[in-house]
Amino acid sequence: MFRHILSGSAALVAAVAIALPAVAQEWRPSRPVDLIVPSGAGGGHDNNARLLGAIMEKYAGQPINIINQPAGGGVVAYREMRDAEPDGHKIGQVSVSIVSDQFRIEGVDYNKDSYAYIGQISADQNVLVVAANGPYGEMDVTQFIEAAKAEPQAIAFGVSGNWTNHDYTRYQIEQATGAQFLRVPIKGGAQIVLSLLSGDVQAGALYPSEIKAQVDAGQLKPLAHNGSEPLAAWPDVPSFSSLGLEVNLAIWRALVMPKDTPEEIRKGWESILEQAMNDPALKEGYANAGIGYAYRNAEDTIELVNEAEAAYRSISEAAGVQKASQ
Amino acid sequence: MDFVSNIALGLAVAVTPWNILYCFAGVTLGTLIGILPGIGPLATMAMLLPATYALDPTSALIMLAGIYYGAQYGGSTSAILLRLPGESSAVVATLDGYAMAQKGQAGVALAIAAIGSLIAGTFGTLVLAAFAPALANFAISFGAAEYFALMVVGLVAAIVLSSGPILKSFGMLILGLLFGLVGADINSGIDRFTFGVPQLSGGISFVVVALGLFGITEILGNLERSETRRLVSARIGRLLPRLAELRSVMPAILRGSGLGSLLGILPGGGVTMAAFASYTMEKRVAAQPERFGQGAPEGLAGPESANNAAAQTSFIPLLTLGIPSNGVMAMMMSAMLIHNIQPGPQIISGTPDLFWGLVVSMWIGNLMLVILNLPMIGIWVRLLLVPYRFLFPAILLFCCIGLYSVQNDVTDIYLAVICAALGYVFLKLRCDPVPLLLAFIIGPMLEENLRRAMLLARGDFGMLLTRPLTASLLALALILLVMAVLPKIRRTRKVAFQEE
Repeated sequence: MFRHILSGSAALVAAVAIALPAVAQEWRPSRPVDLIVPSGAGGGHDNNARLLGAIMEKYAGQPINIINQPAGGGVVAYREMRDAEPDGHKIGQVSVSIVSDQFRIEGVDYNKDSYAYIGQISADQNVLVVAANGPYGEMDVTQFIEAAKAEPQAIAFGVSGNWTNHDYTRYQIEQATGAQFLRVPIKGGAQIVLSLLSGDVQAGALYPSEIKAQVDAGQLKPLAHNGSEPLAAWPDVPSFSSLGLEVNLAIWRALVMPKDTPEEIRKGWESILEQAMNDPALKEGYANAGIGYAYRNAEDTIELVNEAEAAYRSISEAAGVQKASQ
Repeated sequence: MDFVSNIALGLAVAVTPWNILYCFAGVTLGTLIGILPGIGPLATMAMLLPATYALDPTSALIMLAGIYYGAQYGGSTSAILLRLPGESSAVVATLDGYAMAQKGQAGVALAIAAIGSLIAGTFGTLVLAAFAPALANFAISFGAAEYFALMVVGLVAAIVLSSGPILKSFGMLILGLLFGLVGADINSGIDRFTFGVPQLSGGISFVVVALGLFGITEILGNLERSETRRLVSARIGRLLPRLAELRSVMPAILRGSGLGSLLGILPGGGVTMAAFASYTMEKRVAAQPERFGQGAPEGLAGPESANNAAAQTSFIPLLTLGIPSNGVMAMMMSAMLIHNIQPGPQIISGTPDLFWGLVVSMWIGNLMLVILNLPMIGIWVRLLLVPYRFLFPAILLFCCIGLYSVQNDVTDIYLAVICAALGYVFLKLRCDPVPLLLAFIIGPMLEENLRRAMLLARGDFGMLLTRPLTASLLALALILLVMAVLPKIRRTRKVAFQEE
């Protein structure tokens, strides 16, 4: 709370300096804004929101309060973003789960059409890693997949819960290659890293920020990733696509607002976000925090969202994903 | 040498103006709540937990740790002066400490307690610095099966070492495990016991259970008692003990430090156990055991040292294995998780600045406490004059703010009220809720590790017996349990806790 007050007053000073020469016709918020984050404080989602929020304050001319709503695995937050007053003073940060939740959680009553879009703010790849001193530490990705195919279910693959992004990646690798892993649910990326180090599991598909320390220390070895651009941290690691394998469900985050927000207000936010995403301070903050930089305007984001929903729909149906009660 | 460079790193982190300030805030608050009976370190930490969002994780942990060991100092002050233990670990200090105060040696008693605590705190910190890295290196190779076995030992120890009848502790433990089941099952994603409330699918928050069962319940219990507080009018007397007095209690301080350090490391162990064990030990080795209870300085020095040493070393299981050994450590774990720090063997190598900063700050905090407690003793005593009718509404308000801010959701306040009602029933039934709290936090980890171990062993229960470390730990748990129910030991245990 104190931080909000502090950053708020700092932003107010900045606002006076910057807002005046800004384009006068565009809509801007007239009072402090709530940015709802569907996760607790700390962690990738929250870090992303706090970094972006601090930069956007400069261009919005108003303080931006980060509201963490981790309840119900984000379901509560997604509903609140959808049902908010459409006046541009409550916006939300979403991840790819706004399109995948409906396929994996019973009773989810939101999908891509429940929101208006401001733009994409980041993207993160899943990196296939093995323990460097383990039985697969000397292999490249092709050799690893051959080994996995030779002995189905022999390689234990750590995933962070039921049909999370890590799990979808595991499924895509299996589908694309014909390999079969022993699927081992483990709570959270940090715990998967520990299980890799202790030898309990042999492989995992994790975000770069989750494995950076161990890869740099030579304890984990990255084999391949599911993004379309080279990894910022390890540009030599091949993508699955470059090997001709369809393993491509990288996650993204975006800003949204209620569906029936007036176009003028939505456009106002789109321009705030665009200015923030082009701010060098933001790019530097992302790099330090290990957040993958990726920006798309609203129109391109809708395309991204549509593609993701189609992909998750077909994979969930093919895999026979059982919806968990909510 | 590694050790020296590590301590240097710790000094660089701990001796920044902000961290010194947070350390000071922690130990001051700890002393305050230690002196005031009716509010413990657990409830205070639970209230402050959400406020640490805005802090750097190292500063947050430094402050929370300061509350914990600061309360050990403060607790003895009111025990010695008023025969009113501010903390359960200070109960022992009411025996010989109060007797000394009645003989006009209050100042000496306070000084002996503070000096003993400082020596023990230093000792405990050194033990932590020396053993934690080695243990963490070893623990890196632990798999799910080993963790499962370790947690079983922890839970059994929680029963054996808790106060009150075994059967009650066992019942509380089972309740805690059941509470821990609420929420989405990690393997299948299916919700358990959520009754369709989406807020419950992430599980019941630890802050809810801790504040409900400890914070609010403590207030209810205190409100029932009529407010009778006497303030010692007796002089505190001279503060500095003579050299001969110091020399005579030094062996007791050293014994207490060693015993406390050991008991602090054990799962389920903690400060109260350490204080009682040390008192029993001092009485046994004393030349004239009949002096105990009549103002024997060793009977004060030993336990006061032991509880402070244990307060330091009880951080070891959390910082090396990620397993909290008592309720306060469970709170520290929750504070680390809030800041996205996963407690476990990777803490020391992954975030050395946090680990060593915390260790060094504990020593600095201990030093601050001696300065805070001795010359300013008069001010602290005066605090006991604040009427409860002002104190309790304020505490309750802070509880509610804390509860709401965890998830920005009022559901947690309602849940805490339910927990508080439950806690009141436990209070009336004289059930110690600590096993419940421990089982609540260890239970989900226990389940996850057992199921993962079974999955990796392809469903073969035999793996629990064929992995040597797992088998030995499970055997240890069994022995502990058998010992606890054997009639002879049961009697000793009863004696150890009877003064409480």
